[in-house]
Amino acid sequence: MRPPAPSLFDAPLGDVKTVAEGSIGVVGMPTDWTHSSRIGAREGPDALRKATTEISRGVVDSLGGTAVDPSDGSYWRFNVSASVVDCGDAPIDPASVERTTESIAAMTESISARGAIPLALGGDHYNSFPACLGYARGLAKRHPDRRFGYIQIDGHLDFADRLGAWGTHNHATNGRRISELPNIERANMVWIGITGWVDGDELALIEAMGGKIFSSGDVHKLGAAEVARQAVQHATRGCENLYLSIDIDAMDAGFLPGTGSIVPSGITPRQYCQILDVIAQEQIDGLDIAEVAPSLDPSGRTERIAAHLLYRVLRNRIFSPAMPGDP
Amino acid sequence: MPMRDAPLPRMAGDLTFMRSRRASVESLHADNLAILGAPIEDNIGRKAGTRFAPTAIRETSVYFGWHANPQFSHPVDIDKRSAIDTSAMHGRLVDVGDIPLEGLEAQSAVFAIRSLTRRIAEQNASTIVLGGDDSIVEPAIDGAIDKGSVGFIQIGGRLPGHSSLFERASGAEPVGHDAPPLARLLSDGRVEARNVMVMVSPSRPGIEFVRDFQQAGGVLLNAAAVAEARAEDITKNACTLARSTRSLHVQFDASAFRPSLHGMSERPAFGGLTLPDVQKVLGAIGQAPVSSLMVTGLNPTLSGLSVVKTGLRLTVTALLSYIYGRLGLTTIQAE
Repeated sequence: MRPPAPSLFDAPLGDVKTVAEGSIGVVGMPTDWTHSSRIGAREGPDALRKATTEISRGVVDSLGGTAVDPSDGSYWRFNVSASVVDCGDAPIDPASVERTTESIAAMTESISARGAIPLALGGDHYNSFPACLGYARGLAKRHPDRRFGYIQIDGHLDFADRLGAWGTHNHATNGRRISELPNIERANMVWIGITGWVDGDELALIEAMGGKIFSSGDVHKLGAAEVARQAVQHATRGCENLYLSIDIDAMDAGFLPGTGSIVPSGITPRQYCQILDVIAQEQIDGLDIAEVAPSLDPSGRTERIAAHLLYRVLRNRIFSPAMPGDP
Repeated sequence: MPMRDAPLPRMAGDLTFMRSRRASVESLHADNLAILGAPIEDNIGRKAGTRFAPTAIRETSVYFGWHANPQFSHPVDIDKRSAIDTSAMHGRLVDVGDIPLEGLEAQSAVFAIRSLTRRIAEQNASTIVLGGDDSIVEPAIDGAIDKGSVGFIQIGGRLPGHSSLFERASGAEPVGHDAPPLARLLSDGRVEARNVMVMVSPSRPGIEFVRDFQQAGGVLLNAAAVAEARAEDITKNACTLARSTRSLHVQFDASAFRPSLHGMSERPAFGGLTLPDVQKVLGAIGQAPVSSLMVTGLNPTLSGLSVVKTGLRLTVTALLSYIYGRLGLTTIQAE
């Protein structure tokens, strides 16, 4: 039986308390009022759930649950129920950033504190902060002495201290607020895909704290996989724990226009996947994906590409090795 | 402290290009780069909407108005890791608004464009004319033509599809109203082919036209040649054109971009340039003393690739390269 509403990759629904250690707990963050221009990312969690079921049902319904990876001929069995629980959406209070922040953080904290991996579905990118806030609190409960590294794939730094009327908590400040968390290793913060002009003071601050930035130009010049390899190396120096924030707008707007703040990065879906393939080899303890705004892309390809990005990050978890002829 | 407690300057106030200063034509001087809207669509016929481009481009440009936004410290080009000094924009980049074309007959509109661009030319200011379809090109150039010979660089946009264009100056039928602006300018000798450079036209010009055009000294570069060209060489060619004529004019059509990058071109076609290539071309041309750059063929009413108007952002991003070159904020040394 499938749930009446789509869950991420058709994962079973459950409370955060049902997420087992080592598995993934999904939290939706359907809010975009902390975005300063084109809204629509509030529909992101639902769109991602629907689009990921196109992948999972394709494997289950068409292929009987077992698929062959054409790159190496290996067999894989779809096994999402063993590794993922969709915990639904966090309660959102559109009148209060504070209450929304604590609501999301409470869920990701609960998942993280159990030794599981919170996967938060945005929402605009501000919501990466409450998702990471809860993750950091949960990590502190499990390992008070540990610090975590951080990789943000994004067209923008999101490192402003404040943004006009939007104040200190919005989609331009999430990276800055995350850098202020007590157990993050600020020198291990890495950005990939930054495009165009950035604020000089923000850049100076990041460089002063030891953070690293790979522009979209770096991705084209060095290669996507090499950039990801260097990013992982920087983010995991002396850290056992890693948080990954995926803003889909690092991809070129021509491929992926259904997002609030588009950029002409030139980064292709293939390059984005190559970046994620490298990072997915690491032990990611918490992650989020943000800025999927389906109403800005009537073609529907934005959420489909975003779903595929999630698949690339999670495929080693939602699939398990199989043999030809396995049921 | 509440999380939202201040005005949002980016969205408020008078809508000018990149939040530049509003100015009158009479106040312009040689240091100015003036933005002028020409909201007209006279000869495209198929998909109306380019007349909305001046406002749409201005709306998109406010996202790029770093120099006018106290929110930010100073911009840095993240690829080059180089700071960009935008302070010159305050004094030199100005917006003189739109030419009042609403409700005018075609001939009156053409006269209005010609008259205003002539007045700006008399002030010796450089202009960016936001079209509009390519019907703005001919009157905008006419406005400057009284002063002497004209150089013309066309990036994207239409080319003559028929032959014998060069014979028309000797008494044949005049080129039609809907003909590409270059055809009309060449046909009666207002512009000489040897003073023309065409880059990346998505239309298919007639073989005889290409032959006659090139024999007469015109330069025609396809997308591959433009992509391979060095910025220094483009600057050199543009400067040579400017030196050999009294004024140099540039048409930058939305079709210069690859159609896979956006769908807002009035005449999408295969071929075209990537954004970095367009930036290279406009940045290099901006080093030359260009009298006017005309943005044509951008139709904001087309959904493009989605409801997000990627074509507008691409256009403004590309225009920045030109503006920075024109204002001397970036420098390319022509050999």
